[in-house]
Formats: sequence, C-alpha cells, structure tokens
Amino acid sequence: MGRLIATRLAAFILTLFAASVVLFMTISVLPGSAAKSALGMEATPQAIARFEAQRGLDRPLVVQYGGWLTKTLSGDFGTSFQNSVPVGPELLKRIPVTLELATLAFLIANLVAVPLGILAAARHTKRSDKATTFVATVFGAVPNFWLATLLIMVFSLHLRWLPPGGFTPFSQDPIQNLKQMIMPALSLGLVSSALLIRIMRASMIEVLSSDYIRTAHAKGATETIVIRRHALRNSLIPYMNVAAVEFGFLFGSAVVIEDIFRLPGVGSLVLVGIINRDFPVLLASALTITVFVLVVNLIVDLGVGLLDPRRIKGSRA
Amino acid sequence: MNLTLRDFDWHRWRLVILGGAIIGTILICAIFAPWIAPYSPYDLDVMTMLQSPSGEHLLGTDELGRDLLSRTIFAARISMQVAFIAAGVGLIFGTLIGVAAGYFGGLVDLVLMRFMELLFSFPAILLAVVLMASLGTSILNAMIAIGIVFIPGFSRLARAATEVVLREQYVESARAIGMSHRRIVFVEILPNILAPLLVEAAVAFSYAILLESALSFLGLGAQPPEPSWGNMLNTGRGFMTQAPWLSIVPGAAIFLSVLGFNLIGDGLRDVLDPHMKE
Amino acid sequence: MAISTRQKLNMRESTLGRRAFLVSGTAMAMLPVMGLGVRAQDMTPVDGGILRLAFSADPAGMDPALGPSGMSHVVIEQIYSTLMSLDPDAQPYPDLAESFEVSTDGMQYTFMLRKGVKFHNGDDLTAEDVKFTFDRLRAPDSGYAYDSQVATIKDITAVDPHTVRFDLTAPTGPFLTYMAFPGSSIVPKKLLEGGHDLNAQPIGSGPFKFISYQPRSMITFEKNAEFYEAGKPHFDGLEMHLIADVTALTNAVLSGTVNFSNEIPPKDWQTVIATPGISGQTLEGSRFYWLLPNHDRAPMDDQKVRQAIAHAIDRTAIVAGTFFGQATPILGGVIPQWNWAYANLDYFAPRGDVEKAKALLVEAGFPDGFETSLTMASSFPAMVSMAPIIQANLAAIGIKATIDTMEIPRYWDEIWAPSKFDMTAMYWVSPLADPDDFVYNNYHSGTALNVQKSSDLAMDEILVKAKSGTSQEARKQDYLKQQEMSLEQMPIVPLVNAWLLIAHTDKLKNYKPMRSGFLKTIKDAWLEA
Repeated sequence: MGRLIATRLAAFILTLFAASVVLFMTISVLPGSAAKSALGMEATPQAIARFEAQRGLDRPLVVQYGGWLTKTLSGDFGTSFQNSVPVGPELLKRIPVTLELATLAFLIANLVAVPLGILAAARHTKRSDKATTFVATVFGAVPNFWLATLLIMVFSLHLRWLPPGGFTPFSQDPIQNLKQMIMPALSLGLVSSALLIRIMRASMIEVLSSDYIRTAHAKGATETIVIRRHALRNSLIPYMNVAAVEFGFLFGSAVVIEDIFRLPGVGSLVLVGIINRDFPVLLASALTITVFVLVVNLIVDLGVGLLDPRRIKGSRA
Repeated sequence: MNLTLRDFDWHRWRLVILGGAIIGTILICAIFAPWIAPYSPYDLDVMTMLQSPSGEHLLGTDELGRDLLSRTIFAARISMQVAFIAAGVGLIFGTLIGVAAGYFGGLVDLVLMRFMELLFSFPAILLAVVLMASLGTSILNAMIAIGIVFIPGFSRLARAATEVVLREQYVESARAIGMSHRRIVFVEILPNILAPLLVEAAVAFSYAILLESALSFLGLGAQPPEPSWGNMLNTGRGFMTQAPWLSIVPGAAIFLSVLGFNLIGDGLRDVLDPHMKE
Repeated sequence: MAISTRQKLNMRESTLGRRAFLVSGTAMAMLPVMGLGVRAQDMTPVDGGILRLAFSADPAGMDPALGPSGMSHVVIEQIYSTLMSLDPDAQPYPDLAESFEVSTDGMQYTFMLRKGVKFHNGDDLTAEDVKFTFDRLRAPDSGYAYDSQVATIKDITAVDPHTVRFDLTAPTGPFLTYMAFPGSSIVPKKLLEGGHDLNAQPIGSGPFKFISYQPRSMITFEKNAEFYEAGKPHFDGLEMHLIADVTALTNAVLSGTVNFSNEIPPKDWQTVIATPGISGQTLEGSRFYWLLPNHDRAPMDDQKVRQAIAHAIDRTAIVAGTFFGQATPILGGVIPQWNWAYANLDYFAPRGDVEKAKALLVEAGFPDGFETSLTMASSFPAMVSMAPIIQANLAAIGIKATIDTMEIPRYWDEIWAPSKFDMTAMYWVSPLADPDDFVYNNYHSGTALNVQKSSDLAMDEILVKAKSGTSQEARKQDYLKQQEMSLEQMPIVPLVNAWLLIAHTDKLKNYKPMRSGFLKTIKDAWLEA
C-alpha cells in the first residue's frame, strides 16, 4: 500500500517537473518580443534592452529556468511584464472561478449522464437505448463555444433573463453568481455529458451482464431492485474513474468558455498571457492548469488502486 | 455468387453510411467550392453589409458584404484539410511511437510512454494554444499543433494493440524463424492493429475540426480574410444582435462535420467489433 | 473659397446617411474658443457621486517617466498636474502655471507657478519639483519614451519657489504643447529622492488621488479636496473599470454598470446611443490610419506607383465598412480640419479614381499592374476589416495583393521593426494635437516610426523648419508646404481619421470631449442627482 502511494507520488512529481520544463522552454521561445509587447511601439532600444536585462531575458534558457524554478518553489510566481504586478495573488483569485465553473459543469454533466446512461443500459438493444446513444452522439458533436454563443443570443440578448458575462463571487451575491455561471456551465457540461453517457452506459452494461447479477435475478429480485442495489454501486467505480479524469480536463478546456463569458479564471489568464507575450503570467497559469490535471489523475490513480487491487498491475491502456 | 443491393447489410452499416453521407457532402463542397459557391468568398461590397438571408444571398451577408453561403462553403476546405493532415500526423507518428514502445519494450517503452503521458496530461486546447503561439498562427501550423496533440492518444492505442498482437503465437514463430523486425512490424503487427486505429482516426478527424475551429475562434488559427468556420463564428460574435445568422451558420457547419465523423467512428466501432470496450 | 469636395460629399452624396452628415457638420462647427461651449449650459454644478469609466487596457505604469502606454496617460492625467494643459480643441493654456512668458527668439520660457499647490501627501509644489521633474526626464538613463520632447531643453532654473525658467538649445514650436503632455507631469522631488516608487503609489497634485489598483479589474480614485482649482473636481471619486473584451465593455455601458466610455467600437455606436439613459458625443480627433508602402522594395520606391495606390483607395468604403460611418476620409493632407495648420487641399476623390490610378500605373511602366503583399497586424480589428477593402481597390487597378496577417507581438518584431513588408497599414494617435506631432515622426527620414523608409531632403528640411518656427502663422505656412509636398511625394498613403466615440450617462453634465483623446476635462464635469 505504502509502496503504491510512493511510486505514484514519485511519478507525479517527475511528470510535474518534466511538464514545467516543457512549458518553460516552449513559452520562452515564443516568437514576438515580450519587451515590445510590454512597452509599446514607441519603446526605444535602450528601454527594451533595460527591460530584458531586468527580467533576465538575455541569459541562457537553462539559467532562466533555474532562476524561475527556485523562485516558484518558494512561492514567488514573478511579476507580470505588462504592469509589474505580482502574478501569484492574481492567480490565486482566479483559481476559484475556474474551479466553480468546472465543478458546476461537472455536476450538470453527471446529472444528465448518469440517469441517461443507466436508462440506455437497462434498455440495452431496445429503441430507447439506440435513441439515447444517438442523442449522446449529437450532443457530443456540438462545439461548446457555439452552444455558448447560441445560449447568449437566446437568454441574454433576446429574453434578457441572464447577463451575457462577467463574474460576481458567490460570497458577494449568490444569485448573480449563479445567473452568470449557468450558461458557461451548461455549455461545458452538456457537451461533456455526451462522453459520460457512453461511459456510464458501457459500465452498466458490463456489470448487468456479469454473473452475480444473473444470480440476483435468479433469486427472484425484481429488475429495478437489482439495478439499484447491485449494478449501480459496481458500475459507478469504473465510471468515476473516467469521469474524474474528465473533470480534470474540464479545468483546462474552460479556456474558450472563460473567454466567451469573460470569467476571470485561470484559462482566460492563459489567453491574456499569450496575447501579451507576458511570460510569467502565461507560465504560471498554464502550469496551474497542468498541475490541477495531474493532481486529479493522481487522486484517481490512488483511489482506484486502493479500491481495487486487481487494477494496479497490467497495462493502463 | 451475385451480390445484390439487398444483400448488403444496410442496417449494420447505417451509422457509417449516415456519417459518410454528411462528410461526403462536405467534402464535395470543399473540393468543388469554386463551382458550387454562388459568389467568391472574397467579393466584398461594403454597401450591402449585414443583410439578412434573401433571394440574392441565401444565407445573408457578413460585415463586409460578402456572401455567407459562399464563405461557409469555402471554409470547408480549411476544416477538411486540417482534419485530414492533423489526424494523419497524429496517426503516423503516434503509431510509430506506440508500436516501437510495445515491440521493443523495456527502456524504449518506458521513455517513450512517459513522454507521451506527459503530453497527455496537458488538456488538448491548452496544448494547442501554447503550440500555436510558439509556432505562429497559420493553417499549416494549426495542422502540426493539432497533430501533436493527437500523438499521445494514438501512441497509447497503438502500443496496447501491439501488445495484444505480440502475445499471439505467430509472432513468436516469426521471430523464431528469424524474420527481421521491420518485416514483423509491417506484415504481422500493423495489419492487426489497423481496426482500432481506424476508429480512433475517425474520432481524431472530428476532434481536429473542433480544435481547429476553436483555435480560429480564439484568433490563433486561420486568419481573416481567409474564411474558416471558427474565425467566422468569432467575427459573428460581434454582431449577435444585428446579424445572428453570422453566428448560427458557421457553428452549424462545424456541428455537422463533427457529427458526421463521430457517426462514422461509432459506426466503424460497431461494425468492426461490437463488443469492443469504449 | 470654393466648396471643397469634402463639403460637397457631406451635403450631396450622403452615403453615410443623414445622421453622419449632421454629426460631421457639428464637428466642423465646433469653435476653438475655450470656455464657450456650443451649447451654453448655465446649470449649477452638483458635487458628489462616483464616475465609473470603462477602459480595455491596463496601464503599463503610473510614473510619468516610465508609463508609455495610452492607458497610463489616462491615469497619470487624473493624478498629476502639468505646467500647461490642452483645452478641448487642443490649444494649450496655463494650468499649474498661472502665467508664462516666451522670449522673442523662442529660446527661453518662463513659467510663474500658482501658489499654494500641494501634492496629495501635503507637501508644497514648488519650482524645485518642476526642475527635478524635467531633469529626471532628460537624464540619459531615464528610459523616457518621449525624450524627443525634452531634447531641446538645455537648462532648467528654479528662479524662486514659484518661478521656473527653461533655456532651450533651439526654438521649439510645440514646446507649450509638450508641457501639456502627461509625461511632463510634475512629480514630488522629496518623495522620489527618498526612494518612493511612483509606479506602486502615484502621488501627484491632480484632481484625483490614487487609492488602489487591481490588475485587469479596477483602478479607484478619490477626490482631491485640496485641488488648486476651487470647487473642482465635482465627483467624490472615480472608478476605472478595466474590461479587456470590447464587447463586454460595450455591454457594461449598455447595462449601466459603467457610465462613461470612450472606447465604444464603431459597429456598436448606433445601438449604444439609442439606448435610453445614454448620450453620445462624437469628435474628430487625430487617429489616422494609413497605408505604408516600403520604399526599399520596388516598385514601391516609384512615386507614381504610390500615387496610383493612393488614388485607387475607396475611402468611403473604408469609412462605411470598417468604421460604420464614424470616421472622416482623408482627402488631402493629414492635418485635420479643426487644427490651425489645416491646409484644405483637395486631392483624393472619396470613392477613389480608378482611371487616374490606372493612368499613373501606365506612366510608371506597369500597364498590367503587378503582384505584391499587404501585411496587417491581426490584433487590430480595424486593420483586419480594412485589408480586404484595400485589396479589392488595388485589384481594380491591376495590383494583385495577397493579405498576410500576424498577431501583434510577432508583428512588431518580425514585420514592423525590420521593415519586412511590401505594404502594411498602421494607425497613429496623436496625443499632442500639435501639427508637428501629426507629421514629424511619420514623414521625417530616419525616425523610429518611419518604417516605410522614406527619405527626402526637402521634406526633412520643411519639417524641421515648421517645428522650430517662432510664430504660429509662420509655422502654418510651412505646414501648408509640407502637406503639398506630402501629397506629391506620397511617402505614405493617408486613409481615414477615425472619430472619438464617447458614450456616457445622460446624467453627466458639462463634459467636453477633447480632440487629443484625453480626459482632462473630467474634472469640470458633474453628475446630476
């Protein structure tokens, strides 16, 4: 048990380290002068040289990475190139926004996927199964940024029920917060649900066709009780395995949705960093998303390993 | 034996056919765009901007007076090109890496798959966005960036399928009689992992279209005035009240393409292995 | 004088619609007399309230010497004061200075400062602070982006606590305008010598005191109760909302979350001002868009080719398609009509003159046109929108131009700075509204802004002469010559001058927009109860 945790943790740290190297190198060689982006087109060559010297941009990449790593490990995420404001505090303020979006989207996705997946599995090979699967396929084909645009057109511009964007913290005004989050969460969640419907359905089908279910049938339990008691519990584990990983990815795919609804989350910070060639901002936000995904994967791995010893070895493909 | 049309198992292939029909239509639009489109996608007439659908312009005009229908048809070219090439890049390099990892095992496997896992831990859109910023915004770079995003997925699949095949007896025998590595891979392994790879490829096509349009939507892919469904959707965002069709049409086009490829993928999966785990 | 084509256009060919005609008529009629508004308002000012303004960019810094971006200047203007200031029609008037004297040879300026002016921390503002401010800007390692403005200052003397004398190396026509520039804001010598960081905590003597800055979110200010203009400002405070996405910004104005913005995109202008509770003002300022042909690349080095291109452009289409009517087509020299140096030259046909352009191409030896490329910065929606129009205009005379785009950070590095383009387009906002600022950096050879690599001795000479002229009349004559020369040589192709679009709540009174695009007049305005 301890060995499992240790190896997984070691792998996690290694991957995290490697990810930071990859991100740092990719971002540092982004074409387009960071200095000119920060200083504007009237910047004199002296001002540019001064900027680059101050930020260490003229030193070799490895040295830069070392410097960055040391500072980051001690909690200093650097200061933005654009306005010399520390990145750390801003990042911390943005994480809850993306977290709320991902969580709400995940909730919606599950609320849709679990019942539909179970329904489809229970009615496997019948019309409602095929219909559900087809609906899932259609849902999954909708681009989430198109759905977002359509939702805005209907509910914001036409009906004027919901604001077209912006963010108020939940603690400040819960009603406004939910009004602002419902469309983004729907855009992300509904499309996600398509994938999850299939997973739930597949998981349930596998469980339903297994031996002990047949035994329960033979014992005379009616179908609904069978499903509820035995199958659900057992199909949820492999389902959550995949679903949790999907949650991790939701954190990252929120980038476009945050842009459309102007949610001040980590994803939109990535875009800000790219547009402005603001390396500290871009690096910190991209890394945050990556860390989150890796952490979720780690938790899922550990959880799965702890819950079902059979799955530890063998290919993970 | 004469096989008539009635003997063909339509029912079994229904999803592939439906998807194929959709994709086929889009492909025809892409290939024959200059003949199908009523106007040039670049023909602008500022004085007729933002007109709603009419007899002259079946889907209306955009903010520079260009015909929306024509631009949507021409934009199919970009989406199809990117889809095929990106999926191709992912398929080829992913398979190479996956088969190598599965076949040689040991250190090769460890190093390759660890790197693949690393790439896999970046969410697709994030990886694509960072890659595009680093390569520069152009259609070619979008193909490369999206292709790179696909490599880990294909490699994982290829490796797993390779391992399955390796356990089969005939590969043991082939090695015993001294067949070269290359022959074994090409003759024994590849043909047998083709099925799952094809299904994955269909999924990759649809995801490529989504990613390309997301990148163009963010301003990182095809650049105006080149028509791409993504950048058309992005421009349309600025005119949601004045000209909602500018937002509806390109999005519908993306939706249909993705749906088409998804149906093909699902259908292939059903046909090739109905018991294949999802 | 005969009616210019421009006036004919407005009166007859109103393709821009009647509304545009009315607006441009008003703009032309605005009289450059300070204090006399077109609408005489004798309402009594109301004190109180917070004005909420929306902007899209974050300030790059809040220290006048280090903040080169436009948004920095917006902030700096409210916090600090300058010796001179520009009135709505861009004429300089004494601000921190009560009065000033200029020597007849134009080499010496003496400013008599107001008495009793205090910085926000309570310290007195004296001539020592003024001297310190400009010495700081002139220092060789200051990094000041506008050092050309202070280049002719030889020496600054604090004659007594309220009198400052500037000795120049050469007569500098725009000197008073330079003194009104936000970069010339007076900073507190004592604090800075003590190591204070003005970027983090700006301290000035202006109408509003800085309270806080949340990046990409908000900047807050409170009223400076000790401001030297009695009774002003009227607002209790300011909130500058930073909304990067321009659609979101417009929505914020529409929904009333903010009650002022000068960044409404032209495409939304009609919707915004039609909204109840919101008023709009448009003003022709100095936001020029032009086409830059690269003189180092044939055939752009041929004057006739450049003229052909200039005549082929359909400026009316650009005004309509890119700016939705909210721009003036530049039909002559670039100095606009409201400026004293306006030359009233009638040169371009508003819809272009294809025949004339083709004839010029033939004369230049290109009867069948040629192939070239147009490189645009993709992050500017106006450029992206204009490019296809220009491409179509050029195609009509046989020039096949492909459009290349690149996002801004790379564009600066790979296209702009090394002049790696056949043709590109850019806009120039003149914050000073002195004719020198409209033309010098763009037309003079060898300047950083002259990426088109144009070079002509006569042009250089007239620019320098006009800049150092000692009387406005003399300078005006020089600029007339310069404008004529610019149309003959056509080093750059002027396109349009985009209007300032300012939307604000109906309750905002006595706000006079400034041609320079700045917001100094905020201190004069108030919110009705």
